[in-house]
Parts: sequence; structure tokens; C-alpha cells
Amino acid sequence: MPIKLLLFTLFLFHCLNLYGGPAEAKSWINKEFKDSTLSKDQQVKEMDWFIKAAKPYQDITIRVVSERIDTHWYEANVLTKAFTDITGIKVVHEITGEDDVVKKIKTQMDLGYNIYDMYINDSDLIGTHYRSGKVVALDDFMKGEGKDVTLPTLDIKDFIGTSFTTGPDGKLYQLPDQQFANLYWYRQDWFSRPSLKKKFKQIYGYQLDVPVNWSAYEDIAEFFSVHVKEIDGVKVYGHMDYGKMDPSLGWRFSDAWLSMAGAGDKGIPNGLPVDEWGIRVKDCHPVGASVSRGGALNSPAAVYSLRKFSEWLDKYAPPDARAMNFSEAGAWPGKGQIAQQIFWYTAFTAALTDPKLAVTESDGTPKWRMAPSPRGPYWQDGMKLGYQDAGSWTMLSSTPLKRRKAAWLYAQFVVSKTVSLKKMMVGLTPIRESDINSQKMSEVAHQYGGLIEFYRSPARKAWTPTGTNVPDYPALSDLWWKNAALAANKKMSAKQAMDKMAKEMDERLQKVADIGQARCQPKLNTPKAESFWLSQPGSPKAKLANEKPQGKTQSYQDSLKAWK
Amino acid sequence: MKTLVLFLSLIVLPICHGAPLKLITEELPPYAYREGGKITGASVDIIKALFKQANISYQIKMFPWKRAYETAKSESACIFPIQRSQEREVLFNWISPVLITQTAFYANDSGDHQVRTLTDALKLKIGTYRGSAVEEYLTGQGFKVTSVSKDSVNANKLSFERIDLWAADTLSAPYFIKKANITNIKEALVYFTTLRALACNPAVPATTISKLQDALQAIYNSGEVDKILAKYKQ
Repeated sequence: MPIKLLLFTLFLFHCLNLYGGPAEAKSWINKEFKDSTLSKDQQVKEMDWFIKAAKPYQDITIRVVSERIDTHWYEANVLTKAFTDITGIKVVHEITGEDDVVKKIKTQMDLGYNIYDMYINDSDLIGTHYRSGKVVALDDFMKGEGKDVTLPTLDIKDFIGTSFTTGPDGKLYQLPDQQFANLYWYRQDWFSRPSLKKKFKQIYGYQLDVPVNWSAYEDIAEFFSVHVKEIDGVKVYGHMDYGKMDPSLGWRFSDAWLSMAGAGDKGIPNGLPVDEWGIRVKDCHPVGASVSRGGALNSPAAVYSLRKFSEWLDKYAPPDARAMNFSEAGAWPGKGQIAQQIFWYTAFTAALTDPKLAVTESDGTPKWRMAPSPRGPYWQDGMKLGYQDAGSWTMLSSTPLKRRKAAWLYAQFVVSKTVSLKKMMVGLTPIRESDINSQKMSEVAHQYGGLIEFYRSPARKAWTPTGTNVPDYPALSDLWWKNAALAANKKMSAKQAMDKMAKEMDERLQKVADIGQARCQPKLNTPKAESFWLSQPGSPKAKLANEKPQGKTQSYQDSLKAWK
Repeated sequence: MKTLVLFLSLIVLPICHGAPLKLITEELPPYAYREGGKITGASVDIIKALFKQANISYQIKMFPWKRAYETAKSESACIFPIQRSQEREVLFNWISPVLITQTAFYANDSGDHQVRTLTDALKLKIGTYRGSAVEEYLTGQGFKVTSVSKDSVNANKLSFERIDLWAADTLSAPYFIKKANITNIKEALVYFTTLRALACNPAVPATTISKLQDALQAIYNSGEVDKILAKYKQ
């Protein structure tokens, strides 16, 4: 009898450890997923579904990959364990640079080799995925061959980023896993000092506050770098950016720089027919990027934006900024020498609330705030205003079906309502409306310098990723850093660099067309005189007589109201 | 006489046939190594197939890693099989991937370290190969590693439990383990996948790069790369 009991216990132990089960689910819910918009009973029920759905896939070890941010680090090192304990399916979640993720997904698409079972890939590739014919439309999968592994409580409508991951055919191609925006960042404590406010008003004639336009941003940059110079014995700068010839320089431009200046057309999530890459589409076919073909990549607004980028870097940023890349420049706001930054990724929120930093109070409350980005003189109401990164689950048709199904279970687990609120608290990269509006987020909002307020406001819809006009992101994106660097390092004027880039972008679009795509491939317009396109309504827009209108600022409170 | 012939061939080849493209590799068994005076290995075989497909003449040299890397940066030459990274992107034009490789943690059979994820290894003593992409990746993630100049040394160190884990390529590690007749090492976690490329100095003509990239696609599509790799996985 004792032997039988021992064997039974061993059997149970074996089952529980190897094949997962309700006890593991309860244990993880109690210790890790206490914060959830679901009740504990609902969580248990959701996990029961995973346990049952996972049974046919317990012999598989799946492999997925994502970029290197806190959210994905948490998934790779904590949520993989929870998933394996609960379902019995083993997962290796690799972490690497976004550039590497893009190269790997491109390799799998080109060679048809199964490198990963799913990718967390930025939704900037939506135009690529839709046209390639090599990415599984999740709408089709969930209704068809993946129906039995699709979580009944997934609640797609609760996701805030699905407009970014939907193709022109209305189908969902990717499922958002994490999102962060690029916003304006500034030292609210310095902006509130009466002596600095008084001095700014004397020089510029208006209030030192959150800049509404680029003119005010430029004035504030000059104010701190040229007039204030030093605060409490420390050298300060009115602007921070980076200019090293490196792939990360391209993100700055392809993500948002031209859209903030106002180079594209109106339209949310992306300008139509001309988007913020300056690519014009007609009936879903890209027809050109240069002004002569109806695009806006070398339009006056685009040239203006690159000129300002280079000028501000020169005049107002720390002397070494020109030689820095994204990572090197990223550490600067925390040092306590930067007054404002036009372009700051909210993924760094958690890192900038470290109480040891010069930009936080001893309890971790930030001395800084994030606010809507200022817009350039070409910007008009109805246009996107900034960038939002939406790292999203992407499934390739070259992955065997059984592996796809197992990976889809993991993908849904890490975005499930059981898990998502805790994940948001760790990485501050929200994906669900229910989490953003939760009681828990109301309790902690004051710690995050305006992040929660931003995500609760409809303004978040004006911060969007690269859209569907870009037909092959991996084949085109290097042009941004290779050409922007020429102007940033004074090897060419902004006009020369954008002319060169527009010409090369058209050539690449033609190459993409020559290779062929499954649908909506480029069909370039015949070039016409630039004056023809510049005199048409919308983008490309003719040069403004005055590119520096009166600077305008508003209080932080008013900037928040503007989001409502 | 032999010297004279060699001297003449070095001069004559570029004139008669166009200068062969200089390709540099490092000793990295089983991807590249010397056997009976010849340079061979999995990546060398793929490169040979690639250049045959592209119909481009070449010569392969084997240097220590640092010299190989510096030469490719400063001369009209290409290096393989090199890991493509953001930092290196600007330095070369890339024909990629020549290889898709994986890196794993290896553990001693008698060890009781549970390594389910990367962070499980954070506090353990990890051995790596100095200057390698493996070392670069782990230190970049905040790991402290103990590096040696020959990866084969790590197999012995792990066998005698002088390190807790050995982070190594999944083809190289079994090669070293087998060569040293070690029987008490097991694979613990395959934690990273790498694209390895042929990286060419910007002075190498764009037409050559484009030809090679097309040829690479062709040898993948024909199954030739699979065949070569299968030979080395046995």
C-alpha cells in the first residue's frame, strides 16, 4: 500500500510538473497575477481553458523572439515559466535588438525557413506583411485552423492598437503585445521656477511652458543652452538628440520626425494618400516618394524637418551628441542636464523613476513630465502627431501548423486579462483599454509623469506607427539613417540629402515591384514637374513663406485637457 | 622556382581572370578549420557553393579573429561567418545569412543548476570564448562571464566543474566535447539564435554584393545549404 501511495504521489507530481495543471495555475495567480481586471474565479477559468487547449502540444518546445525592453524581459524570464508550469508547453523567448528581429523575420520570409514559431515584431511592418502573402492573417486563423486554440476571453475589441495591425483588407495581421509612444519630455521643476519664467518672458515675450509648436521648442532650447547655461552649478542644455551614422538614427526619422513637422497628409492612423514616410499610394499601390511622383520625401516640409534636426543638434544639444547613437543618448535625460527633449520614448518611464537619479525626488516621484509633442509649421488638425511603437505577435505561414498553434497559445497567454495588468505594471507598455482604465492604474498614475493620462485620452490615437503605405519596411528603412546622417554630419545640405533619399526610395520601390509582391505592389507614377504636385491640395505641400510663426506654449494642465 | 611560380601567379591572376575576392575567416570548428593543410568546415563549404553559384573567383585566408576583423574593415575584402549586429551594420555590406546558428548553455551532468530561462544563469559562473559574439551578447545583457582564448578549454573546465555553465555554439560545443572524449556534459538551454553573414568592405563593388545575395537565395532554395549542414550535424 505505501508503495502504491508513493507511486501515485510520484505520478501526480510528474503530471503536475511535466504537464501543468490547475494547481500551478492557482499558484501563479496567487503569487504573480494578483493584479488583474478579472476576478480570481475568472482568472482560474481562463487558465483552465489554457490547460485543456494546450494538451495536444505538450511535446513541443516553441521558440519566439522580441526586442530588448523591460516588458519582453519580463515575458522571457517570468511569463515563460508561468506558461510552462500551467500548460506543459515549453517556451524559449529570445531577446535581441529590434534591428535583428526585423532581419530574422525577413530571412524567414525570404527563405521559407522556420527560424521562430512566432515573432513579436513592430507593427511598422504591417504594409510589408499585408503585401507579402507570407504572414498569416490572424482573423482567418482564429476563425479557421486556429479556432480550437483561440482564447474565448481574448476580447480583441479591448486592445487599443488593432488599427495599427490591420491591413487595407480590414483583416487583423498582428496582435499587439506592448505599446509605447514618443512624447515631449521636460523638467517641470525648472519650468516652474519663477526666476526662469520671468527671464524667459523678458526675452521671448511669452510664458515658459509646454511648447505647442516647434517655434516655442526652439526658443526654449535656445533659452536653456544659450541664456541659462547653468542651474544649481550644473551645465544644462535645452535640447538632446543624437547624430551618429547608425541604424538607430533612422528610427528617429522613420518613426515620427516628418509627421511632427507636418510633411504628410491628414489621416489617422496614417496620412492618406501621402504618409509620414512621404510615400504616396493610389488604390493601395505605392506610386512614389519623390515630389515629382506625388510623394513628399523631398518636399519643403521634409527638408525643413531635417534642417531643424541638424540645426538644433548643432546649437542646443551637448557637444558630443552628434557622435552618439540611440542608446548612448538615451541615458542623458536621467543625468539632470537636459531641460527638454522633443522626442522621448515612454518605454523609458520606469527607468527614469529610479529614486537615485537627479531627475526624481527621493520617493521616486518624477521632477519631469511628458506632454504632447510640439508640431511643426506644416502640421494641420487631423494629422498624426507622433509615433507609437506596437510590438505585435506575428505568425508566418512557413511555420508548421502544430508549432503555430502552440506559439499562438503562448502569445495569447502573455496578453490575456489574467496576465496583462501585471505586465503593464512591470513594463508600462499598455495594450488593453480595461487595464488603462483600471482602479489599480488610477492609484499609481501619479508616479508616471503623465503616461496614464496620455493613454486614457483620445489623443493617443494621433500617436501611431508606420502604416500600410510602406510596402517593404526591411528593404527600405536603411535609407533613413544612411541619408539623414549625411545632413547631420554636414556632408550634404538637408535639401541635397532629402533629394538623394527620395531618388533612392523611388528606385527601391521599383525594385520591390520588380521582385513582386502578393498584392498591392508599387506602381510608380511617371515624374512630372514638382510645381504640379506642390499646387495640388494636401501633401506634398508648397514651401511656407514663414516657417517660424510666433512661439506658443500652454500650461501642463491645459496640455492634458487638450487630450480630452 | 616554387616561389617564382607563386610570385607570378599572384601578379598574373588579377590580370588574366580579374582579381579574386579576398575572403577572410577565423579558426572556428566545425565552421572553419584547417585539415591536412586545407581550410575546410561547414561555413567554408557554404561559401564555396555560394561563389560557384555566383561565378566569382575568390581566395580564402584564415587569420586570428582580431586580425581578420581589422583586415576586412580596412581592405577590399569580406569576412565570414560573422554575426550581423547593429553596431557592425554601417561598416560592411552584407550577404546574409550564410548560416543560422544557435547558442546554448552547457552544464555538467552532476550539477543541479536549474536553467529554464536566461536569468536563471545570472548568478552562475559562465565560461565563454574571448571576443566572441556569445560573450558580447551575454555581457550586453549584464552577465559576468569568464572568458578564455580557446573555446575548447571551456569543455575541460566544465567537465571538471571549474565553471557552472559553458555558453557555446550548438555545433562547436559537441565538436569540442567529442574531440576531448568528454562524457559528462549536457545541453541545458538553447537560448539564442544568430544570423551569420558574409560581410564585405564597402570597397567591394555593389554588383558583386548583389550577385552574391541572389546566389545565396539560390543555394538555399535548391537545398544545397541543408545538405552541407547535415554533413556536419552527424
